[in-house]
Amino acid sequence: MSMTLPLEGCRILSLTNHWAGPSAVRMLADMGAQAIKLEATKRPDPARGPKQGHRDRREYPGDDAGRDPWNRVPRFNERHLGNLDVALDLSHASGKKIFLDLVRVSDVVVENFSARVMHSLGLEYEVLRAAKPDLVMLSMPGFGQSGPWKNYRSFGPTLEYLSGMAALTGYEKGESMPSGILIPDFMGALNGASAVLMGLYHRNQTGEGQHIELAQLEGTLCLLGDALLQTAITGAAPKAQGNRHESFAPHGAFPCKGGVGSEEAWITIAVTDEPQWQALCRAAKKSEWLSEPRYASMVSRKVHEQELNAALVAWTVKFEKYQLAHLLQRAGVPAAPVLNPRDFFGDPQVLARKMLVQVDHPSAGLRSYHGTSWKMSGVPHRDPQPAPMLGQHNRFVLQDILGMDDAAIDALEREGVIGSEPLK
Amino acid sequence: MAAPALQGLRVLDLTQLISGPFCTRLFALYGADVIKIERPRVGDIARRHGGAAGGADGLERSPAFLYLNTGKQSLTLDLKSATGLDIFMRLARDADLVVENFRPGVMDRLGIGYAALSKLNPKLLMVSISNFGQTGPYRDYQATELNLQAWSGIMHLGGEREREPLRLGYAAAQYAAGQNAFAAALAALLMRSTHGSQHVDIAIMDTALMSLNSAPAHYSYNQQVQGRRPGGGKNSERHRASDGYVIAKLPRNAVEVERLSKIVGQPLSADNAEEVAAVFGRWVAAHTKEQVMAAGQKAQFAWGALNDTQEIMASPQISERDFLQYLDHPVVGKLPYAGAPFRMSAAGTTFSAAPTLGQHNREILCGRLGYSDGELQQWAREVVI
Repeated sequence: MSMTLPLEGCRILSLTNHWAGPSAVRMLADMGAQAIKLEATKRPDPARGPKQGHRDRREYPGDDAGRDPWNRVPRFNERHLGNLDVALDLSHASGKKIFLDLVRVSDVVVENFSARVMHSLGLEYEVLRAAKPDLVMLSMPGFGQSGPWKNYRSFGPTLEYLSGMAALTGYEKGESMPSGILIPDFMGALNGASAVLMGLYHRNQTGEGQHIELAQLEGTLCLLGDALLQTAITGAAPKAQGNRHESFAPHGAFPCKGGVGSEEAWITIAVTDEPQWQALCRAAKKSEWLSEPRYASMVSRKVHEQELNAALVAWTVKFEKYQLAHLLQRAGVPAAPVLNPRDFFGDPQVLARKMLVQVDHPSAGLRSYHGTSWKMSGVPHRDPQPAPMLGQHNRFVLQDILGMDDAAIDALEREGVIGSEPLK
Repeated sequence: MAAPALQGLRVLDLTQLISGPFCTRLFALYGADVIKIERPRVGDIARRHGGAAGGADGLERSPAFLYLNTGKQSLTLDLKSATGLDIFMRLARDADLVVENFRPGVMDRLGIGYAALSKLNPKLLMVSISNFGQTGPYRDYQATELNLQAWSGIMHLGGEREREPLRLGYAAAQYAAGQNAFAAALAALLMRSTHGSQHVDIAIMDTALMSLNSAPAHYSYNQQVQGRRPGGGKNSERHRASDGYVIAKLPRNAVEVERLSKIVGQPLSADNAEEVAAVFGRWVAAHTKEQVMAAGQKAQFAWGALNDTQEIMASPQISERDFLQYLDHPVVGKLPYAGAPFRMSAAGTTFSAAPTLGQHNREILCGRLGYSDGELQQWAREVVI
């Protein structure tokens, strides 16, 4: 039989919260896995926000928190496309039993608690392996299951500062700046998906399951490997250098026409060789730049970067950012507008590559989310299923997968082991 | 140590710079046999990058190259020569995976595009990584990391609201694309026995877009365009310790303030935020970053510290877990390299230093393909290898 999705027939139990873990699982769900998210009514994923809703109503569709704010948060709904959701209390004996029954018929468990939580729940790898010997389990703690920081809690911003990442970003040398988008979580998601895929590959080859540990600090540091090596070679940590490049000029962000407020307009230009510089001068119709001795070589332009940038600004402000980017690209100059989230909705490349998809959610309505960032010739595009509402699939999973009857499920509901509303 | 998961997997690496090499580095790390094919006498462009490059042995000193190419073998090959192409085809015949990051169209022009290679080897997977993808109106546009962070919106959210958008000081977009390509290639491998050959198309732009997470969703929920934060969000949580800065949110509610008062050894009231801040500031200033972090974490505060790369490399967490791998290289000597992003209980990793240009020519051409020393010498003269 020919498969059309790489993870068809693979079942994943997701004990993950926040960003990195859920986004890793979403990527695997996009690849065809059946992903079941487990959260508890007394402790839903914090990304769902408070039960009564965030004070800032701009978190919700049409600024309306509705009757079920926890199902209407874009950040949660983005990260859980294609998941099923069972709200199950794992600290309750019957909850634990149901979980182990699910493990028996699953391929993968992913968790991103801090290191000690699975142990205190009595659900560490050894226990799960006893239920399912070839299970692939991925743990994604902040710092790992060993070392002096093993029990430390971390979030994306903590890791940006701790890893040295923030110290590489800033307008000036010596400054340090967080990313504004939490790169460690983003990399954690890609790393987590890679780790699960590797575990499945190994299982296919050998029949063996295993426990994989992704310490997110270490995953983050892999992205800084060249900076770490440079530190070791030179004996000093590299410093932030703004939008400048150590040897290229012009290289930076330049203002354009027509920007307002949070939608201000900027273009980036990066000239990396002489043909590109000459192409830029011709595109700008500035023959005087071509004959200017200060701009005659990369080294000299780097020395006179400030004057050069000022001259460029006087030119770039006359154009809209997209207009200028296309003009420069067609002339052979690496240039790009700085896009804001609204721009994506009209960007021809984003649309052509289906990087935004519309998905109808029972509470949040028809909204847009990221598409899949991998394109495979053997895998047809399909729009993902919506993110689940809290406990939306309690009955489906317990009945269709575990074969429980209505009476047993009703009893679990009465005892509060499963549910569909946050307790507080 | 257990055998690595990808042992026996054959990867032909036609990549340079960052995105592709990072992808194939991961393959090498988890045990695949990776042959990096480089232009004779020139090699990967990244060999010329970085402060330490240049001078004698100039192609063997770039930190970016050395890091991104650990564990690989280097074979120099002129793919525009008939002999070079013929050797490549022989290697492709029993390879599992070809990874390339040329500009779209180059592989076809060289005669080694997906259609040609999959006909030659029906189980071959091909992964292409490019700036904007193999399709779409921007397919042939050029971009550097700066441009990619702009077009994907990363810069829009980077830096201070009052100032220009700011790029991340590391190649987040290209690294992420390499990681994404690695994951997608593994997915293609998983379905290969039933589906056979396929072509994976990874765009750095598509990947980098994902880093914005819910920002586009936010816009579609309520037409809100997120922007940069005042001051870039860098100052609100920063407090000076005796040896640098710690990152800590001041407690907000009575329960947290109670926990804080135990740390600082002095009663505090949640009603007096100013006093809480002042006492906390004095206490932090009298302790080291490591001490502040330990005390806070013990009391359930997710406090951290501001480190540069040198400080994190020297941290007790990194050394106790042996994350850094000390590899010996014939030109730059023994240096610490970032290790594996994840650790597998039933499968190992393999670490060795990056290859010098053409280091494995003889091993591959004579050892594996059975060519003679005479042929190698002639090809070297003709700059085919």
